[in-house]
Amino acid sequence: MEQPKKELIEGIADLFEDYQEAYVPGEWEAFSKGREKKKYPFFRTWISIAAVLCLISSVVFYRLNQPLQLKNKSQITLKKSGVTPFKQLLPAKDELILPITDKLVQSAPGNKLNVEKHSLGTNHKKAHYRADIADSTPFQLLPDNDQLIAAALAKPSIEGNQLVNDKSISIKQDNSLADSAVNLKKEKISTLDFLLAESKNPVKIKEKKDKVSKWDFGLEVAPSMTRQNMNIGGGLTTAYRLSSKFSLSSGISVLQLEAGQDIPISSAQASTVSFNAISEKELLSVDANIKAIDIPIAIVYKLNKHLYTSAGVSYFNVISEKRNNTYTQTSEVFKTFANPVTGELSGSRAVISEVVAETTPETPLRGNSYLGFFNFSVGRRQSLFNKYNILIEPFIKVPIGRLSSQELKLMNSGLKFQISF
Amino acid sequence: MDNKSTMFQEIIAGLRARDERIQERIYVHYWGYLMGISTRYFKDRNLAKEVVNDSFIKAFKTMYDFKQDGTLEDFQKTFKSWLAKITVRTSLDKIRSNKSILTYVEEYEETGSRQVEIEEKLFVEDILKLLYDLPDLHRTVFNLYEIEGYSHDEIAVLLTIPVSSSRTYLTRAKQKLRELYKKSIESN
Repeated sequence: MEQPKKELIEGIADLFEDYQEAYVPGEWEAFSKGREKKKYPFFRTWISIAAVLCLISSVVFYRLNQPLQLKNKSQITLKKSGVTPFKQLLPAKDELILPITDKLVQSAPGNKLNVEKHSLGTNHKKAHYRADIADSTPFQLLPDNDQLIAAALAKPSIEGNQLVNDKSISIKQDNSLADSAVNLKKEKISTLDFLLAESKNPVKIKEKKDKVSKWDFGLEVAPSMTRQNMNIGGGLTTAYRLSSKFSLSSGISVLQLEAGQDIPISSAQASTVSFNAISEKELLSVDANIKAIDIPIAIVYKLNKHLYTSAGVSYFNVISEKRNNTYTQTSEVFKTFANPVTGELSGSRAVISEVVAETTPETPLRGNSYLGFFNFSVGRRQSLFNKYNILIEPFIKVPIGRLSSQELKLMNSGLKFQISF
Repeated sequence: MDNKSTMFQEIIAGLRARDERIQERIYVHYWGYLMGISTRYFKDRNLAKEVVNDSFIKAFKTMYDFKQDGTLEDFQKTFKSWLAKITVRTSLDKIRSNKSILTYVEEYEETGSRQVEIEEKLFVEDILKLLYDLPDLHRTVFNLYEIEGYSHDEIAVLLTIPVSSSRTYLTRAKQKLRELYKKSIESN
C-alpha cells in the first residue's frame, strides 16, 4: 500500500528531527587543544609579560646589587684563605697546623706534608673523638683547638688535588673517619663562618645605612579637577630627609588649569533690565585656560612605613592664559507690524536678552607670579625593587592671596602619581 | 544490555563521579547530532563547528549537576535535548554577535501558501541548500519553530523581535522553501 505523501515542511521537520552527522575522527583532539587555548586565552600573553618583568627586575636587581656583590666576594676570599681569624684563639703549638691552607700546600708541599705526617697520628683518634662529640652535640658553636686541627688537616687531603695520592694522608683510607671529619669540618666551619659574618654584619648595615642618600628624586603626573574641568600636570620632584619622620619636599611642575566662575547677578542689577536699558552687557561667567609653572615646597610627615601626609605652599607662575567671558546682552528693539484688516502699521518696543560668549584679550594673570596655593595631601608609598618608590597621593590645592581674589575658582584637587628613586 | 545502554550508564556514572574522562565519550557521541543542529543555522561549516565546540564547553561546565532520576531512556532524551538547547542558544548568540546577519531581510513576493507534497525522498544536503537560500532571519525562525519546536512567543524573546514578525518570517520562510523545492524538482 502506498504511503500518503507528506507536506514539504512536515517532511523537513521530520528529516531534521533526529538528524546527525557522522563523527569526524580527530574532532575531539582538536577540541581538546582548542579548549586549552580558550581556557587560558591570556595565559601566553601573561607568561610573556611575566617573563619580561622577571628579566627586567633581575637585571635591575643585578645592577643594584653589583657593588654589594663585590663586597661579598672580598669576604669570601677572606674566609677561604682563612681560618686565620681562629689562629689567634689557639695556643702556640697549634699554630703550626692551622695555617695549612690550599695556598700553603701548593707553595711548599714538602714542608707541609711533613707537618701533616707529624700531626696525623693524633688526628685519627681526635677526629673519631670529635665525631662522637659532634653526634652528641651537633650544634656546638665554638670550636676548640682539636676540631680546628682536624678540620684543617682534613681539608687539604680531601679537597686539595696534590695531596690526594699522598701516602702520608691516611684519612682517605678510612672512609668513615674521613666523612665524619669532613662533615665535622663543614659543619664547624660553616658555623664559624656564620658567626664571623654575624659579627661583621652590624658594621655592614651601619655602612649601608650611612651610604643611603638623604635625597629622593622623582617624576610625577597629577590629574586634577577644578570646579568643572579635568586638568593635568606633571613634573619633577625632590625630597630631602630631615629626620626619620620628617622630610622637606619640593619640585617643579607644569600645570594646565581650566577654571571658571559664575558671576552672581545682584537683584538690583537684575531689576535694571527694563525698557530704560537700551543696550546693556552683564558678565555671567568667566572661564580661563591657564598654563603655569608650579613650584611647591612642603613638609612631609611620615605616619608609618607606607603612609605620609604633607602640607605646604606653592609658588605659581602663569605662562599662558586664555579667557572667555560669557555675557547676557540686553538690547531694545522696535517691531512694526501691519494690521491685516485695515492695513494700518503699528509698532511696539521690546527688550531682547541674549547670552554671548566672547574671548577676551585680557590676561590679568599672565606673567605674574604668586604665592599661589596651600597644598595638602595624604599619600601612600610603595616600594619597588627596594630602590624605587611608587607614591599615590590625593591632594587639594587651595588658592591664597591675590590668586584667591581672582574671578576664577582655582581650587583644585586630584591624585598625584609619583615614582621616586 | 546493548552497547548504547552501557555507554549511557558509563556517562551517568561519570557524571556522578565528576569524572572528566567522560567528556570525550559525550563529545564523540553527540558531536554529529549537534553539528546537525548548528549547520541548519550556519552555512559556514567552520562557524558551525565553532558553535558546537562552544556548546560542548558550556555543557561540560554544568553537566555534572545534570540530574538523573528517571530511567536510562529518560536520561538519553533529556540529556540530548539539553545539549540541543545549548547548541541552539549558542547559535543564536553567535548570530546576535554577528549583528549584520539579522539586520537584512530580503523581501520577496507573496504568491499564496499552497502546500507542497514531497515528490521524492528528501535528502539533508538538498534541504540544507534550500535553507541556505533563505534570508538568515527567516531561516532562524523556521528552524526554531518547525524543527526545534519553540513557540512564536519564545522566538520573539530569543530573537528580540515582535511576535507578529516571527509569524510573518515563518510564513515567508515556508513559502520560499516551497518555491525553491518546486524549482529544484522541476529542474531535475
